[in-house]
Amino acid sequence: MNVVHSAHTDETPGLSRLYVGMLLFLLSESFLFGNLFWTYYYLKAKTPVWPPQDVVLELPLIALNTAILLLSSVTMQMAVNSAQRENRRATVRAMILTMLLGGVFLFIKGWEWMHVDFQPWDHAYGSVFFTLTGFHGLHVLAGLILVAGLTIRTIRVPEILPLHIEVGGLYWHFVDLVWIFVFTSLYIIR
Amino acid sequence: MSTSRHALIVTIAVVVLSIALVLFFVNVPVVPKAAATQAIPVDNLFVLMFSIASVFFSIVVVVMLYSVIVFRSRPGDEEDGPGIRGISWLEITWSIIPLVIVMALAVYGGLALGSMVSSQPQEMEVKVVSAQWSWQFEYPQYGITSSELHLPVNQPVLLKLNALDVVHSFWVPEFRIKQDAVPGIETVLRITPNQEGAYTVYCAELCGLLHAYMTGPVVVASQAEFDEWIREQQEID
Amino acid sequence: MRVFFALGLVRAIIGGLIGAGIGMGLVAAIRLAAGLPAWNPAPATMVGTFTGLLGFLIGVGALSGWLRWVGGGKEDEQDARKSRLPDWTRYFSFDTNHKVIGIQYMVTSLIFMFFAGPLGIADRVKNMAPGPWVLDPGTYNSAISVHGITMLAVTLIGISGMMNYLLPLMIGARDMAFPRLNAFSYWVIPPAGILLVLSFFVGGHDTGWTAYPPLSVKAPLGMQFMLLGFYIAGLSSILGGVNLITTIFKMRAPGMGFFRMPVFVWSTLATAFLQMTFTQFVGMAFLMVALERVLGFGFFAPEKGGNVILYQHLFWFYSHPAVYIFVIPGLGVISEIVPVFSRKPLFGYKAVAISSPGIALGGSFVWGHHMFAAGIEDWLRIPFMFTTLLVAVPTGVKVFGWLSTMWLGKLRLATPFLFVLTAIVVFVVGGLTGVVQGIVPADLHITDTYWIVAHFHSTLFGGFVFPMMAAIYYWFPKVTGRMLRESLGKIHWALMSLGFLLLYGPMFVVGLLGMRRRIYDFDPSQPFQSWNIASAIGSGLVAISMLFLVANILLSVRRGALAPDNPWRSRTLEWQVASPPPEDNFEELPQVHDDPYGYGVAGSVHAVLPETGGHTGNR
Repeated sequence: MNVVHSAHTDETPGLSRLYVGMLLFLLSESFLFGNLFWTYYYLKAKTPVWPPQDVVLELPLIALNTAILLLSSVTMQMAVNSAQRENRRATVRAMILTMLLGGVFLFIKGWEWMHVDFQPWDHAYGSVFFTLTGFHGLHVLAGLILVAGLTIRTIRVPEILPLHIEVGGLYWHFVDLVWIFVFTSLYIIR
Repeated sequence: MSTSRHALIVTIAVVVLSIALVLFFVNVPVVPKAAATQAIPVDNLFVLMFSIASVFFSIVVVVMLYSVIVFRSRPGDEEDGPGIRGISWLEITWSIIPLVIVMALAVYGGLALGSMVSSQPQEMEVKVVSAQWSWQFEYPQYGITSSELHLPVNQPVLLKLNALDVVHSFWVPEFRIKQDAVPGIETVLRITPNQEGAYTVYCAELCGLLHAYMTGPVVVASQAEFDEWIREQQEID
Repeated sequence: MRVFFALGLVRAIIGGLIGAGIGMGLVAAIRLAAGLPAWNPAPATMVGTFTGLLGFLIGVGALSGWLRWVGGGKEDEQDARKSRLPDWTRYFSFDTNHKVIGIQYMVTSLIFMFFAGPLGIADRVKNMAPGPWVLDPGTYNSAISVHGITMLAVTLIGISGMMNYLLPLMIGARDMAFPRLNAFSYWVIPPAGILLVLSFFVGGHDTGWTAYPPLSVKAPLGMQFMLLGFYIAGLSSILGGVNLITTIFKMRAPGMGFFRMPVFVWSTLATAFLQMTFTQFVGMAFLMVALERVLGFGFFAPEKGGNVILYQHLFWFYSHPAVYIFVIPGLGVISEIVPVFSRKPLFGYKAVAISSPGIALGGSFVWGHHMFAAGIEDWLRIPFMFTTLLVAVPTGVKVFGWLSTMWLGKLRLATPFLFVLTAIVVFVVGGLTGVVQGIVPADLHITDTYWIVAHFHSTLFGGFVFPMMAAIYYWFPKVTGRMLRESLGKIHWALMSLGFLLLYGPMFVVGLLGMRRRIYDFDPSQPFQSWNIASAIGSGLVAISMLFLVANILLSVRRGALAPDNPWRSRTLEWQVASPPPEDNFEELPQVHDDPYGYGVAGSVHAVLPETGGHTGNR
């Protein structure tokens, strides 16, 4: 579905330009997170005690949150598959489920932010912890907006656009993948 | 005129211009008088690199000027020139030769750097404290502090640089090499002054409003004069 | 009046002011509720910047197209409304045609150049004599900083203009891959530029464009405007990069394989990859400084466990590839112009084409050479020295290719070609001096001196400014359908070239002699003054030369001689359509057969155009 049939368009054969564009954009966003990961590991390497003493993280809760986000990728992929099979109802249901799971993820993240013992202005660790998880959260939020837009369009227009939903799925999976790196760095490697 | 004729004229012009430029750089001092052993490899590098650069610069300028004059199209001539798309051996050559030259320069530079940063026997430590917008110098083995940097000639010195507020940089042009002073980190600079005289240390990293004025006196004197200065400072303290 | 308020720009400014007001009001309300005094300029303007940007974009109509798509609406409605307005209003509105956007970028670039240039000249004037006169230290430092960052924005905007206008035409496409995203990418630029200009007037900043903490954390409010302004400009870079690459991959005309593309397209591809990826680093680094300023974050604060040098790594990781972003397009322009005015094929086309991604790739691993004296590990300087020197090789491939193209050719010394000649010489000086700096011991003497200032202005003038002048004279006939006057062009060229020499030649000298950069004042006992006076005169000549360009454009855009479709007899596709090109460029897409440099090669044809039956090649 992401492949173009060149007889009908100006595009060169192969992946559709929407798909290529999203792949490139995600490459760019990986540099954004690259900056933050570089910061995290550079400071970690240069600091004897890292994380600082006052940092206690809720690994079980965030592990659950990770599972929730992974599940949302599954539901998003279900939406993509339903769209390719032209099943509008199933597509919309799966996208709504995705948004709900994403929303829960953000809620739990927010809860964690309110309950950790340190603030971003206390020390460099706090700064990078909140900025890294914060920018990831912003990307989840942007993903929610994106999926919401796709959902509204799918409801309002009879002709389903599997390509657009698949491209949206790319973005959502990317956000999930970034989270795996964030989770591993902040909660496992520490 | 045949191509080889053009090439011969150009080659001669390139050689002449290159030699002229190289002679200039070898004989005309473009840097302040060197006053530290570390300045020697730096100045040698300058002469070497300016000479190599002169050759490449001459090639570019001569070929371009020659083409603009000799290969100018005659008015009214609407024809295209010869359809030469490339000459493989030439393209390979002008990729390989610069590659070899720059790699050799990098090796030479690396060796020079190694000689300049390696620790010396019996270094004298001086702690340099930089803050907006002045310098302080502490001599731990003599227990004194001064706003002037006095050094005995031919004595290897280990400067330990500290910055209290923002990034500064320690630079005496006659010594050539500079080093930033960074808040939160102690950086080091090794200098062996080898010419007695009065110099100035300049802050070489923009550090705010009065960056231009962040300077301090540097005096390189004989061991006896230096010892005398130390005694005077100890009396003051 | 009705037309005035229909202009996208006007609505955008209204929207921006309302958005900023709402943002600042929100911050005041939150502060009051928290028991704090309502007004604090830093957080207020920080939030106000982003809400103002949103308001600006909504006002210009940048979001309506996407929102309409979500609602399931039709595209045509917007076009119908627009066609009732006069043509010139397109340039002040949200218009998705890449040619309109290209011109918007170019004009914006020139406008900000006329703001940033005089700032630099002011500093040249100050440096003519020691002691306090004409400017105070704070204003001087601000002028230098705002000059720097604004000129970098000017460069990003200028290259976007050239690439956006030319790319679709050169590859035989009707527009970019994402026209709406393209217009969006343009319209974040005016707010960004306004922030950069405003930064000078809200306290300035005394850090240089490099904004090193801790100094940048303590700097006045202007610092924040600069950080956020450049951050927003970065959005344009990133989205523009995505668009350019997708266009090159997906929208080439039939038959245009990669080794049949003009070198400018290769340059665009390499540039777009760099700007799409590395810009994220400077954006985030600037944001991190802003967070330290406003909220007390501690990334770079030693007292909070942060690291000062970390900033420099993150910053230079972008800012070195950035300089290749700045010059690779201009080098591509040179590669286009030299064959046309030599009537000879571009010598070693494939190597020259590949050298653009080569420079981009090589230039990604050299950033540490800006930090040789910064306090990084001693040994770390060595690999950076090697990688830095390696980039000279693909650069040399280009220069030797150009020279060999001219050799034995039939050279026509029209203004575009004259600017290219100066560009090449100046760029070579910049490149050779760069090799000198690449060697660590030498750099330890010349870093942070005027040598560096001369070096990067040489590479920037050689790789961007002079090529952009060449591009203006070369493509003006295509864009407007009129010729620029050769006489005024040649005066512009002569004054600018001479001015450049006077302005920057002396800087190499005083740098070696010990003149640090970014200094308000110098010790009269140091031998700098005469050289500084020469520099100041040079800067005046450069400025005057630009007035000749402005006069030329104003005289010619309505009353210049009518331009034929292909005044320079070039083979690339943009010259095979009318001047100016039709709305959708090509009725039917061209069929491409070979690269566009087969001048003098019997039977070589770049492309065939079905709609005219014409072809671009030798009979």
